[in-house]
Amino acid sequence: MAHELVQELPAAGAHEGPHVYGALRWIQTTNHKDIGVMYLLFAITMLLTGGAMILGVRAELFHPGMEFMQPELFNQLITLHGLIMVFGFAMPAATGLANYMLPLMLGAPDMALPRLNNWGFWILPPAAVLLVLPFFLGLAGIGPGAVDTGWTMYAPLSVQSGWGMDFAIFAVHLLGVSSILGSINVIVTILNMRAPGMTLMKMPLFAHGFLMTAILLITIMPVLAGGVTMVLMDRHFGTHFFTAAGGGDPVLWQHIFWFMGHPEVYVLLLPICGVVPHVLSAFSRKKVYGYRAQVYAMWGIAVLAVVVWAHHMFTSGMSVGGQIYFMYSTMLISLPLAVLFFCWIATLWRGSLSFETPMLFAVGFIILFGWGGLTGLVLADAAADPQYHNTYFLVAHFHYALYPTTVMGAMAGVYYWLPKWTGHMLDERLGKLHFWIVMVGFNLTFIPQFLVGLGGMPRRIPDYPLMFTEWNRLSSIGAFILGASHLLFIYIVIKCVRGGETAKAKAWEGAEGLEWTVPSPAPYHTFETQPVIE
Amino acid sequence: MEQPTSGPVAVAGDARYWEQRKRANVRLALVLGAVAVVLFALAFWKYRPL
Repeated sequence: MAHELVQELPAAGAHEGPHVYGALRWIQTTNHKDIGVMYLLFAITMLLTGGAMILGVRAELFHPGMEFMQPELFNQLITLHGLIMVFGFAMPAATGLANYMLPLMLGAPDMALPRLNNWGFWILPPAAVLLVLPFFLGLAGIGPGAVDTGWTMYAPLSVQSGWGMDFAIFAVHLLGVSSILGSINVIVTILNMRAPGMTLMKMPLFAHGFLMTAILLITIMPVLAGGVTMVLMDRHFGTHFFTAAGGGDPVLWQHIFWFMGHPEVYVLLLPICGVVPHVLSAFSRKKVYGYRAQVYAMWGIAVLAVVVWAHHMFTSGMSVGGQIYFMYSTMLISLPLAVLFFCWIATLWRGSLSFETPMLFAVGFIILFGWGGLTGLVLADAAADPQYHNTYFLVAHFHYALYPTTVMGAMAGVYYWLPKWTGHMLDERLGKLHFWIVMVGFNLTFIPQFLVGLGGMPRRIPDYPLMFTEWNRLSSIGAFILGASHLLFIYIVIKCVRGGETAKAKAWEGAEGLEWTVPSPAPYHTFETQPVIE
Repeated sequence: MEQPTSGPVAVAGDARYWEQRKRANVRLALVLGAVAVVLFALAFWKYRPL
């Protein structure tokens, strides 16, 4: 094993840092580490923005009756929360991790298409502005406010909604383009830039997760772009794709949206399925269990992801044959997922375990995502789904599926590689405190939502019967605790960037992989001389 | 995960090597971009108003 090899510093004469400094550096940069950092900073900004919006919603729901806002503002907040978290936070966070880590893990000097990488990132901020600008204009009394259709943008509401919807359509277009450019870069980097000797089946699981994610994104994002373009045409150019009055079909939008929307869940999950085995392996001091099984399981998930979308539409009306197909195909996904869970637990089995912060987040991810998966089986049942659909049970399931992946799994990765990025070990005491605050805050937020959902409380309604008051109060308190935990996360990262115990090249005793062969922090340019994998 | 490495390979200074790889990267990127455009057009075309 040559993982103990510490890469030699760049040869004399080679430039060791950025060409320019200040703001221009970040605008012009084509360096994968710079761009990765920008993606991650953008993602955390959007996490705070989307999080603040949903805290407004939880404040409203703390007590029955209309307390702080009118239903129109409530609708805008829940819609923006969904769109921002999925397109503004979760996807850029994953792309940030990919940008920073893929070249380091593959032994490549940079991403395959560095300029495209720069463009891909710089499309994001204007898209974010387009998305939220109508909201702030609306608060200032200008215009009807932001898109208020729910993040699913169902027709005919999206055809009739105010001009915040037009802004959202263009934002989705831009976010989609950014995501496709990023995906092209990831695929080309993985297929063409691996170190000599690193075959696909020697590649880190991290790269497999991102390869499948990128392929999925290139498959689904153009379809969503087509869909929102159709909405735009229905709104302004007299077409009738989705308006029944003109012969169109509103349910068509649901098919198009969920053809993107369901695989999107796996777009967010698969990168984390690539991150978590590295963390589990490092802190179990064992090799990843079932490498091949995990790769094949991830492929299985990626393929099934695009053929099960209509389980989101059982209540829209569907033939019995259609219901049976989408029910069983959805349940089939639990098989490759079970393989992954088995492999993750088997990696821990009889390992020399220690529970540093990244490990805590990885194990927390497994437990909470397990609940997300199990409650998903209930919703996948075509006979049971009408009972739960559009209740808070669905909201709770969705968040048990996505928060552990997009936030906890990503944080496991961030904490794991933070010493490589900053050159300092993180404050373990604060990291562990962060984990336990997240666990308490998250479960306090969403367990009550399962219960009120089972009691029949509908989602997306700003008021509720008195019988749901106590659970909603607990949920709101949990949400504010969870929100505060992210501020602690930011403090921990800043503290780690500014100083702390010096990190070795191999920061964690059990860590394996090429990224641990370069010094910490990783030099501005790495692997200009490619390593060879035997 | 077995990822043993031996010593580094001297490719950094080989401009022709990287030029070839760059061309291959651009080719693959164009193919993937074309796939995305075709999927967009298909989604749109399939449901065009009659």
